[in-house]
Amino acid sequence: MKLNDPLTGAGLIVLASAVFWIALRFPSMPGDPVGPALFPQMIAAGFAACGLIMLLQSLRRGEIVPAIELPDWIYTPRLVTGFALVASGLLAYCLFVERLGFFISAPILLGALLVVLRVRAWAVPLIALGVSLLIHTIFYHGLGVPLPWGLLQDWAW
Amino acid sequence: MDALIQAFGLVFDPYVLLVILASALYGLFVGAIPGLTATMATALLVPVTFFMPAVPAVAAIVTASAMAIFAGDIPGALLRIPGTPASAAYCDEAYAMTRKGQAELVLGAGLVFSVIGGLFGTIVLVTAAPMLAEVALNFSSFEYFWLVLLGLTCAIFIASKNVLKAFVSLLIGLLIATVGMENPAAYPRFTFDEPNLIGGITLIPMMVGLFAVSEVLRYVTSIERPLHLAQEKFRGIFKGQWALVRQYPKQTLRGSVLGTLIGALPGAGADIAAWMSYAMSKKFSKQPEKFGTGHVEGVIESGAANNSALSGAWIPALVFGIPGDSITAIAIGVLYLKNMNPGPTIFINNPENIYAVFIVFFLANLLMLPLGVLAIKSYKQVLKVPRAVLMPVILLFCTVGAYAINNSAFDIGVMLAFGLLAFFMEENGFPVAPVILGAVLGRMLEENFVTSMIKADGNLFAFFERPIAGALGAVTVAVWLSPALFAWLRRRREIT
Repeated sequence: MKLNDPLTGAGLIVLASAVFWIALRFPSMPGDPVGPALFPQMIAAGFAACGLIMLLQSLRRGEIVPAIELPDWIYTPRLVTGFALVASGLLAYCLFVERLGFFISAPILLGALLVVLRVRAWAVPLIALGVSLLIHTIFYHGLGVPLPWGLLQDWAW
Repeated sequence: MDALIQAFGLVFDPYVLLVILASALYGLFVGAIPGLTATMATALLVPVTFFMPAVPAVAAIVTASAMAIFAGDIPGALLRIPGTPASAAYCDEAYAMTRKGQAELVLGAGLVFSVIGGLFGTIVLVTAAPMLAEVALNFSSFEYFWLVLLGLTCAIFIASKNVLKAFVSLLIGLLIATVGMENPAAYPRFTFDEPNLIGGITLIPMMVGLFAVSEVLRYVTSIERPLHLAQEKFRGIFKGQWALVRQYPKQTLRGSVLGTLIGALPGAGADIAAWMSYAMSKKFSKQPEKFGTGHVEGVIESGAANNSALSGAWIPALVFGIPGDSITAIAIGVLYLKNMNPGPTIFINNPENIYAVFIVFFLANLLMLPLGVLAIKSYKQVLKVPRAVLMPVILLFCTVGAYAINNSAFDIGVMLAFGLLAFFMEENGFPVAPVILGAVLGRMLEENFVTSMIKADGNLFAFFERPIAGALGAVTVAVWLSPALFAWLRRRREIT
């Protein structure tokens, strides 16, 4: 998704205002001549300046570019599914992994992606389970990362 | 001397040697696969190094990144797809040589001159870093403030095509660095009452998102084309290399020197070093007309440059804690985690660790010769690994890696957010490297600014009063003014 320069510039100015407005409420600290607000406010000023330059430059060029240019992949359903799956799959994984456990979430995420990427059907469950098991062995048993067991707590090994 | 012996002991330990070998093979594999970059190789390695002692952790990163930069040459020469951005500069040239039946020569040159460049950069690192550290011992917050600012300035003015967009990227990084309580006032900023944000945004999940998840997103939104190797079997990779070394000594040296310098500049890394070197090689060549038709000269010069840049980048990283490129930005994160805080005192307090890092650099570059040949010869097999399987596996690895740092599912969300951010930034032409530089250096910039302001009692002129600080400040301001100055000069020339 490509935003044109005026839209990006406007977006930056909105971001700058938000940062500046939040930083206004930071208290000043005794003994600190700078305070916690100055640095974020300077960043906000930087965003605003960049946004303004982008706006002015595109006005001066006077060219007309669509506000939002959709990427090529948006017209291929399989690619859109792939993108949506990575984004929503990771979000779901992040939200549910502790409740469901690694051994349920990981093979589902992996399997779904493999299906979308057209890996042969018979190989999908094999790879999904095998790789999950391998990663679990490396991280849980090898490196001592407490990957959550979730629903499978009673069968933990 | 004792420290040196200790350092050898630290490196020549079976566990460390095994880590080096494993990360070498890993780096070669990732670098050789089109679409997986050296930066991604490093970012994915970090969660694993998190569980290692300091020396093997750094050794893994040094080795994997050096190997990945070389291995990027292989798909460049055989598929006309650069394996990593650092090989893009001479990819067409290398492919043209393969088409002329010189695949062995160009791959061998890529390997041999990568090693020479890497060793050259390492020698400069080993000699320059301790000397610089000695000088840096006298640095106060004023000097550090300007150094960080100069570093960030170089990153946007020298290392990017579009200064404005690079500046926006840098500001995003700086904004990220302000999140949490880790600021001089210890006031929680931009935490939105989220307890997971009190400590700030954890760097590693952020890096994995920026450099690995974004690549996976790019992969799933592109149509995979079948890859056709221009040649499958290779014989006599070292044949004729000695003749090249003798024929092009000046080019080798020039590439290595320029590469080390560019690498040492914060923000500019191996890819920019390769582009600049290739252009320089063409400019000074006696046969510039042959460039682009399958001529080895430019491949030699820029092939040496990108590997020397990798070593050069470690100079400011180790001495000042200012990363020279995005790979060292990630490495600095690891150094902090390992209580090996970069800075001049590390050369005094932990000289054995620093010497160990130097030894690893030599070892990694020498190991590149035999393993590089192996990678070239088995490239057909490497390509057989289906990317449709590899990418989902990488994604799962990312999630586990991000989780492992704090054992927190929140970090997986952080990783996803930065993956999406990097994906959209690149679609809109915003470079990602300044984000990581800003995020790594933001706190250092603010801390040194606040400390200096307290010392100077709010007097801004104090920033220019110490000689070195004043000089650094002047250079920084000069770089800021340079675009306007160049524009003015151009206009004047047009008028006259």
